[in-house]
Amino acid sequence: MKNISLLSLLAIVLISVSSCKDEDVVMATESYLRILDDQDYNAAFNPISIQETSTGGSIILSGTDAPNTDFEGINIIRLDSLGAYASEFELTGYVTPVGDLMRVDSAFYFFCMEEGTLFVNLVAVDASGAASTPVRVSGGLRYPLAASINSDNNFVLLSYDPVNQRSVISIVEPDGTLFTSAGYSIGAGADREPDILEHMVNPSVNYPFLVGQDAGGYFFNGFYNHTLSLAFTSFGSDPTGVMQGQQTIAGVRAVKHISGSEYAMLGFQYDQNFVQPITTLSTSGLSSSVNFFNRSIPEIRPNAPAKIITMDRPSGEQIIVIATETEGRQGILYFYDTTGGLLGTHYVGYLNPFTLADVIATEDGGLLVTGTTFVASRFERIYVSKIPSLTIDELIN
Amino acid sequence: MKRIAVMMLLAISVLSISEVKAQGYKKYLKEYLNTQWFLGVKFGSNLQQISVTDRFTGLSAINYDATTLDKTYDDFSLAGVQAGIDITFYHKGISMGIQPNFRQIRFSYSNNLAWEGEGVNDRFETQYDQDERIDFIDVPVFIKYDITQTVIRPYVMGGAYFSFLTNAEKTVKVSETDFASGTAQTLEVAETTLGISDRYNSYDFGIMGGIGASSDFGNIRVVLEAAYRFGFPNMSDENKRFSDLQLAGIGDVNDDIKLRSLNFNLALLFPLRFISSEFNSN
Repeated sequence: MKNISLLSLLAIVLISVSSCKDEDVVMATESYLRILDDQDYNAAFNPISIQETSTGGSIILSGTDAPNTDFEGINIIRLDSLGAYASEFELTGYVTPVGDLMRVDSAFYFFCMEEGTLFVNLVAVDASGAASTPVRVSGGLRYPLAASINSDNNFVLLSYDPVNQRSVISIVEPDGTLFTSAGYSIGAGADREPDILEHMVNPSVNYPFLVGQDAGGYFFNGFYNHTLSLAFTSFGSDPTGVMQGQQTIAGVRAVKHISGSEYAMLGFQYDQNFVQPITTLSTSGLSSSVNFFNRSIPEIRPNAPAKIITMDRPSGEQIIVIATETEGRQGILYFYDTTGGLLGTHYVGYLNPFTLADVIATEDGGLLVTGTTFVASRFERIYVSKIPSLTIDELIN
Repeated sequence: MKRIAVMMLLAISVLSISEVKAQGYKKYLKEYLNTQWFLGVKFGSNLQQISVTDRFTGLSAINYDATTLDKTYDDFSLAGVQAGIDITFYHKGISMGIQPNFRQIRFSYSNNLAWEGEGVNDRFETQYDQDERIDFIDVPVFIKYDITQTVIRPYVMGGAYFSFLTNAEKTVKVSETDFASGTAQTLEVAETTLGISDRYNSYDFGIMGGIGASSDFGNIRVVLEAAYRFGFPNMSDENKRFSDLQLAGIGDVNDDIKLRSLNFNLALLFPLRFISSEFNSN
């Protein structure tokens, strides 16, 4: 009897141990939340964009306080594969870093301004986080506002021409050569330079400038014809089509071309926000952003930054990720399928306020999110959250 | 799985007791003092020691020594409790048995952070004091050897245990010291209790060894024991280390830890055969 008891006990223990084992193990490089803490009482960072390096680490393009100017200085932070701080590089003499941080091969590029002349420069950053000497972009461009990479690995830049009062879209090659450019009037008699300057020196203003490529050409969200508008262009004398907002109080906050004439969009109407995870936009003619207002999503904070990306899952399914901030000051990621069905949501942050700056898909099928949070309720610091592929699969399935 | 394990243990106990009763006391009369089953209650207290195998923090130091982010564990500082039943088979100075019980462990750690600026008043410090409580259903098995056959019988013991985590929570106290006014002003700014079961794996196991003494008072065997437990697995769930964002703002994530503890128990055991004053064990 005693032997039977002991054998039974042993069996219970073995069964229990085996049942407790996790089948799916997430590696430390696949899941982390790091807050980059600076011991300087007065340090301030404004993360702008993040990119993954080929070694599994990441590079953050950040704005920071710069001496003798109201514009933001430039800080480049390199993280290791666990999301921990590895090194940083401060670029002096240049201001107003503009995302996206764009990757071509093993190098990363971003636009900024010369501190004295305000001319647009292109900066290359290597995988160690060191920046090369900035190259002034030809064509005399000033006031860079937004950038992205196109299918030819050239850079699409939205800038503002204060002399001719035009929004300017340009294609710039990695060596800084201006490939092509087109400027569009912000409206007769209008002067948006004060708004542009306020956007650049005051992060809380945060106009949702963006630029991108679609099936037939390019688009930008910027000032056009007296309103903050989403304009479609083939670099002609006029946009091929325009989705107008209402001055600066309504319009588009983020848009991503999905395929054909379909786009994902997050828009705003006064202090209300709406999401069109998949919608058809006309790239010709005139339309209005209010026509796409389906319903208000009160969860999203007014004037919150937003970013839309697509990512391919291991199953081959493509999903749309719309990232923004909640009224409760958390980052929030909405996952949609390409028919517009909501698959799941994921929050970044809990008790402390978290802001959103950028989100990218990573090589291992995860997501990398960056923004700021407040340590000890007062020190604004950059955070980096790596969401593992396993978590995303759990969210969307 | 936990319920099945507990039910099987109970079944084993019932079967064992039934068998003992079925034997009839005459056959075993001479062996009463030398061979006996005991059933009783056990209760006591424990003190934790945390063995850190790998340190983690949600904060990443840009311009200061990263080791200042390490948690400082206060070993053997908070008393936990345990209570349960004791089933012991005793034969000629050697005992073996099983002691299923509820067990709550407690331990604490603290973090300190400080920021300084160029101004003399640009200084701010925080301290986070964290008390954790983890509840287990505990299943130890043991063997004891009586060193002497006297009225008070000292013994040495060894064994193994398996524990199922049932609940975990922590209380965080935040205090801040602000130098903005020119002098240090310290305030207790927050105290909150959070559920943290998801941060831990659902089981623990290990070995134990200790010393004790037993003596018989009438039909009651009284046992006093001190034992040290040596846990083997990492208690922290690596998959959940960064998924719990409740305390992300203070960078609090679990280290990889193994549980070690000192345990003090008092057991009152009753013989399962011949409970009668005629066969008083004295």
